[in-house]
Amino acid sequence: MGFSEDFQYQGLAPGMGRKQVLENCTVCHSTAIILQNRMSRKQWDQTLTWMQKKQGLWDLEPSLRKAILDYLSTHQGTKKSSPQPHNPLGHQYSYRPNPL
Amino acid sequence: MSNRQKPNASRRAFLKYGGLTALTIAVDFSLPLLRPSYSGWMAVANADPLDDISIPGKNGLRILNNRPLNAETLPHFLDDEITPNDRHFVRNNGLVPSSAHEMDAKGWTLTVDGEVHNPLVLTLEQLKRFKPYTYSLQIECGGNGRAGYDPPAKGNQWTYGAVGCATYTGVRMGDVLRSAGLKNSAVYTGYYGNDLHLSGDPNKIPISRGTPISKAMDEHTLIAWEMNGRPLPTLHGFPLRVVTPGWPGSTSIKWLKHITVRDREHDGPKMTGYSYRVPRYPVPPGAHVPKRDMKIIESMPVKSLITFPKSRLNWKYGKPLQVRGHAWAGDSSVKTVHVSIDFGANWGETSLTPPANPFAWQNWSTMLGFPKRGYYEIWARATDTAGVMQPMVVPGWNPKGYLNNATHRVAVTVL
Ligand code: HEC
Repeated sequence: MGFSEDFQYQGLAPGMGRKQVLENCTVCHSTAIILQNRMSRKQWDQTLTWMQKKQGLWDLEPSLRKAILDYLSTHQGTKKSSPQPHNPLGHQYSYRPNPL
Repeated sequence: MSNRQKPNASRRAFLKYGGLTALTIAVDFSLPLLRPSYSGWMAVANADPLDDISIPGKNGLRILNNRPLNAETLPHFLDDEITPNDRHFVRNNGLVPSSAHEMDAKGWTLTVDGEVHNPLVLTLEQLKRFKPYTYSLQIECGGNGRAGYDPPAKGNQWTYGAVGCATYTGVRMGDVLRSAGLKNSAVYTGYYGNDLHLSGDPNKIPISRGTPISKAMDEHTLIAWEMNGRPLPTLHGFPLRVVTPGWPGSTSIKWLKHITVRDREHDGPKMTGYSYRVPRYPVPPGAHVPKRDMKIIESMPVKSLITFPKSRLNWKYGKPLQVRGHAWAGDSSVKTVHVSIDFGANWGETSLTPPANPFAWQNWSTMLGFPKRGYYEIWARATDTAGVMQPMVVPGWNPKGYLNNATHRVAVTVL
């Protein structure tokens, strides 16, 4: 991946729908609030609705909404294999709290 | 509600850059502008785009979001008894107003209206004629510790450092409200700052919160203009802010322009829904909680932090180690702080200072000896004056991940 591309996508991983997320989701805030969060598709959907109701996010055509939700639930989903741990610092000690 | 359209390209460009000073861009927007060199992250695909940005006037903060700016202090950088301005966390909901960037308070007024007999419009000069008070007051973000919740809770993933205790100078909110003459119908305050909504829409308000009148009338709730003897910094509300100590930081509205006294619970942006609210009853992790079962967070819970040593310390066997930190308890104060080096099997009491004034955090310290070489975790646990302790596990999961006051732990290897 070239420098300008990586730079341009503000840390969003490559994948279908990345362009749509960049275009619709970085007008008000940066990608940082997206990359910090991992949610199910349903929760992402509710988050978009909240932003539409309260924060001035515009209407999204069904196909656009689907592309954005596909991207978010794939790359910022709740699955363990998700590329971004939700806590970037991790625990600053070796015994994880209550692993059982 | 009108059918909103996505702005076209030029409208978007306006939303991004229109009407904002260069400095606003530097702080709120500017991954590229503040990045010292591109070489470090170019090579790494998906590198954290926030690595090595710096915030003017800040030192030792971890940036969670650059736009809006949200940054927390690493625990070992909170070691000072009074948090210096450059080490105090920042939680912004919108964009910093240009008046704050330019540190320009010319013509600034504070309006007090609503359920009062004599609405006021005060210049800064008039406000400063009320008797000034200086107190050390702790402010903690309601979402501090959110990163500990599993399943993850939505929002900025604060770990430990969205808390600070600085010294503020200002007038008592109560004195100002009394001079406006509270009506019997006064129930709640609503505070408004002049920060900008992220959308750039001047008619939208990023956040407006308040408290019950009783908390606003507390002697330690201030309308402040100084932080640690200096005018409020740009990021902390220049020229005026509310300080509602011990309650979620979001009730300490920055860049304060307007106080409206309500005859009911305030319903400004981020007062309602799931914002700064927790379920009325305990729920299992990940539960869906209906909005009507959510209640507003008032006092923050008892909590402590280990500010020395920094975690992952290597220490020489046989040498005593001084461990220290702070403890606070929302509206209450802290009675004792205990530490354990054996996962909570044994606890030793530390020496604890009384608060400099109500709502100041307290400082604790103790000398530890380690019985053998090996791996230890130091845990700190505060108990408030009512006998309520910090939990050792992440407590009460809630949809937005507030109020995680689990004990802080640091790792030490004794060699
Ligand atoms: C019109 C402005 C606007 C647009 C466009 C927008 N957002 Fe937001 N978003 C906001 C505001 C305002 C907040 C609250 C910020 C805060 O509290 O720091 C927010 C918060 C969020 C949060 C955190 C939610 C929480 O509960 O804390 C996420 C996640 C998010 N946005 C994702 C997105 C995604 C994905 C898109 C693209 C579909 C998007 N946003 C587009 C305005 C917007």
